[in-house]
Amino acid sequence: MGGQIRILLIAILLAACSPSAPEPGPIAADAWIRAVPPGAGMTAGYLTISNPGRRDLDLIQITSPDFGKIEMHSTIMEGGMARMRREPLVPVPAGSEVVFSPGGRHLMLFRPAGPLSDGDGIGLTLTFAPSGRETGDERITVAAQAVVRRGNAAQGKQHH
Amino acid sequence: MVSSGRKVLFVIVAVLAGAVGIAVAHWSAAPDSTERALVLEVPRTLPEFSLQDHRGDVFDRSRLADSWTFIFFGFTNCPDVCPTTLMTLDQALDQIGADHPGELPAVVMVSVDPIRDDAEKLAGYLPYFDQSFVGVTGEMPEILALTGAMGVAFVYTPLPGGDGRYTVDHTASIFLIDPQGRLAAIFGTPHEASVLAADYLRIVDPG
Repeated sequence: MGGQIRILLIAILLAACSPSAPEPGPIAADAWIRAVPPGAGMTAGYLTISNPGRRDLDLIQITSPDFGKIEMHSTIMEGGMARMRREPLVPVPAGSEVVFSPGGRHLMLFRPAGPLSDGDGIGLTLTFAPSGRETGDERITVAAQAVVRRGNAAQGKQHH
Repeated sequence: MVSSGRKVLFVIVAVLAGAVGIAVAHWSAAPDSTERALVLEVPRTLPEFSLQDHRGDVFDRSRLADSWTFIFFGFTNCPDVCPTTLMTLDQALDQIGADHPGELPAVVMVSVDPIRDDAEKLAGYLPYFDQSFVGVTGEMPEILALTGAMGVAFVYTPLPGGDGRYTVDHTASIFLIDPQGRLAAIFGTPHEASVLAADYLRIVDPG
């Protein structure tokens, strides 16, 4: 009797530890980078990140071979003043979508490796950590392809 | 004692009257005529100032006297708000020009970061958004003369990292100057090209 319960418990524990369906990872979509004059030295990028999984995640880093450095920033309007603040990480809770868009949350991309022309493709690597465990070892990386655009919105989403 | 007390009181009353006057000028706009623009009932005359444009030419009050002008305050090391606003203004000009090619306004960005934004830097920046756009920079007291008269605030804020990088928090409104060089209307954020274009045409072409 006691042995049967023990086996049942072990079976339940095993099932809990190895879920049959793998956890879906975060997704980066509609990434675009604003084309700027050659001498600008920096520009902004925008994208939408969704987390279809069951775990809260934090976006902790974005890198690209085409830029010296990428930071996450947010433009905050206070009393008609635009204030820009750096965000060391951006929370992406389970089941949520986080939108980076002009005049709000954005990527600040420094030191482009070359000129940025309309239509160019830029590879981005996004690194996530489980929420609250940024100092741990577990990392999830997601590759995204951004397109360089002159306008104020990703192609196909332009206002008319 | 009595006279100095009265003088203080007079100054307080004068300041209050001035503040009320500005408030009335700001808020007595006819709200049904424009969607976002705050139209000053009495356009405000701007003080004299002497700056330079991105071609190195003098940019003073007389440069505002020929046409309607959208003025925006920004800086070239601004990744998000300034390019977004310049693109929006470019789209607004396209919309105005489509039906009213004779009523196109000038567009001017005055730098609030003149240490980094010299005329050469602005020359490489503003025309990229539209060939007609004008960048303006100069000595800080001259910039302050203009920002003070328009109620524009800007604050230098260091970026984290301790490497001396900074950003400039600044008023993001767009200001409309009439062909007499007076402040006629203020567009608060968020800016939309269609609203800018429609409100502009209502203001320059009432009736």
